[in-house]
Amino acid sequence: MSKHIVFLIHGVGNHPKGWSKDVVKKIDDLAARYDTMSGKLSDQLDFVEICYGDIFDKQLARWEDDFDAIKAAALNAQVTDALSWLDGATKGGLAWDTVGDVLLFLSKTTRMAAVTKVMADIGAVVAKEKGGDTEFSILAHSLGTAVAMEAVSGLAMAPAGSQALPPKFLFTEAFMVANTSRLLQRKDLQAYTTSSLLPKKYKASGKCVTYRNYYHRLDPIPWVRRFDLQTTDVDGYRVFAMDHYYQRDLHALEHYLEHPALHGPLMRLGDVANLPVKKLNDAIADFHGTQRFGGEFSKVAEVETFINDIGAVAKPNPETEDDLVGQMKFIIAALKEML
Amino acid sequence: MRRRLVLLLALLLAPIGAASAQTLAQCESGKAEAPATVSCVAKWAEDQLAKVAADKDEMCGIVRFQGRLRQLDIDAKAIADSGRSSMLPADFAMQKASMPGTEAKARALFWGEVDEVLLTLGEDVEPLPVGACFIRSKPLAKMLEDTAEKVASFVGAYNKPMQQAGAVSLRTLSDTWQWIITDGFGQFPWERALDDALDHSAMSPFKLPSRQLIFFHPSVGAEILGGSRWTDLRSRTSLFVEPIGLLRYRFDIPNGKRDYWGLSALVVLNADEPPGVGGLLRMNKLAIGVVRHYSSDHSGLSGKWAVTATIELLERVQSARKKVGDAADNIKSRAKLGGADGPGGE
Repeated sequence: MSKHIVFLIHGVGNHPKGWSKDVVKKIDDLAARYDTMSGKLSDQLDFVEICYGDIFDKQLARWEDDFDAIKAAALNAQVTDALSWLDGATKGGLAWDTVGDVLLFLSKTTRMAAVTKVMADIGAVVAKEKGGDTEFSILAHSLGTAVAMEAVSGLAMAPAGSQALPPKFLFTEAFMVANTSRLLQRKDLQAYTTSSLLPKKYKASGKCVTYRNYYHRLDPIPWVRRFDLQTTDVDGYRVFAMDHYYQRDLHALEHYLEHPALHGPLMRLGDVANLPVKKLNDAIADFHGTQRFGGEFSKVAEVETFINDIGAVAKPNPETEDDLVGQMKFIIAALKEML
Repeated sequence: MRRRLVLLLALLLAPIGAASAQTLAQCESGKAEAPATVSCVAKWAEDQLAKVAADKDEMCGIVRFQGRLRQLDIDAKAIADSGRSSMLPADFAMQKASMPGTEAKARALFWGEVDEVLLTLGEDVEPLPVGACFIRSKPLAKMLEDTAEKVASFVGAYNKPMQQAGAVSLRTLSDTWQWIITDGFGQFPWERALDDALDHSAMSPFKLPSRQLIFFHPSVGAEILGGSRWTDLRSRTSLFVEPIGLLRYRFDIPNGKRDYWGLSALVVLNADEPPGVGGLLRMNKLAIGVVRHYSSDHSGLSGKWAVTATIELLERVQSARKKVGDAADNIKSRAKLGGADGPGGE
């Protein structure tokens, strides 16, 4: 039987080794709700966890250690005080976990260190596979979508001697959830043009068959400089705006997975019989209607209050590149309101 | 028109008829990493397709597949003739693709190329894009799929050593970037931010930094101050601040070498003396410098001279001094023993 490997790439926050276990369990639980599903989805798909957060941890630990050495020498109180914000850098917190990861990703050295780690991890798995019929897909969330864009582009442009992917290699599907690849693009790697993580029918050097772009209409993170390729499924691009409410943390990957528009196509990667097209379409329609809310929300009024509260947070211009600070402040404020 | 079609088919099929039939066993007995083995399986696959009968609507699948097999054979021969190693394209890796306007899928060969072939997975994918080459016949689809898988596995086996070497190279690259963070020169956040702002060169995972800016970099080191005799030397811990400097990295990745060296201005601060100014030369974690302190009345740089060193350099020097000292003591004690045991000694 053919094999399908799905690389799971996490977003901001703390994601130590083993982080994907709960995500895979969630996927299995969601798939098990359908009577067309036989067995566990994780038996049909090989989920491969990708970690890059340890790079950011190493950087923070280095700064903390270097600061500690200065502090320990107790030589000059003014210098020690000026550096005191580095103290406890590795301990985190909501603001630091969210913004800190993004700031570290914006810094060239930590960005390249994280990206090359992901490149090496994906390259090692692809290079090891023997089967002529193994397929590969990517499920990336939040900051992970920008990391995925960088890593796939790096793998595609690798010079001779560093190529782990053969020419004309394609990922079957790229599930880009709460997509930040356009927000975090750089001058030399633009999400719509020079990136290699694009559908092949949209760009000849694109590295995926189908690109699925997901955002929740109230999630602040993909809202700023939203990724929105101006094409359709004729070119292999599919976009889905979600509007379901099952937990306050709308940005969480688990919340996005709750929607059949995401877990449905994942199920069909294993076998199209896992969820026939009509059943998938019906499930998606239910999530616009009777199944629109649940979980932490038991009443319509609760959902409406929640929507209004988040909507009340003052919004910056989401498109301008000059107001990154304002956009980050909006994201933090909206996340605080959500949580 | 019909005559032209027959002629075209004859031309396409002629090379297959002329060559002897290839068996898969012959190909499997060849070396996986040899281009000739890939040529062998390309010919085997062509032989298989030559035996297939198909409706005229589905001939496109066979013709396109054969065209690709011919190209694969040409590419493999070109590699063999050149004597160079280069990968072959993964053209025969099949994908499951969702069709436009539906989530229904088909298997796809040569996805996104002008000679794309779609094979039924049993789902209703109509209406298909105009001009699509779609194999509805399940037996034909299965045959093409199985043949493609076989060819893909041979191409994959050929590419594998190069892919694995590439993966190793990527891992070394990744380790090097991480080394810069954990063991390289530890730029503080403001240095990193300024360096990034001033560096307009193109960013690439394959372009390791060649230089880094040093900007108000604090660290702790040792000052060595002297008196009129070398036995008066004493060291004290001081705060170093390098207001400006430049560092260069040098990487020799195949040989596992990673080094940096730099030069910077230096200000030394400690509680016992007015500040000292000078310069610092560093080589990896070892650094040595010279400073002159301001005089006690702050009238100018006429205070004490001092040599500065990082703790790591001092430790190396201490360790070397200790070894020399131990060796000298050893020689002395042997000499004493030799004198005691010599003629007239007890």
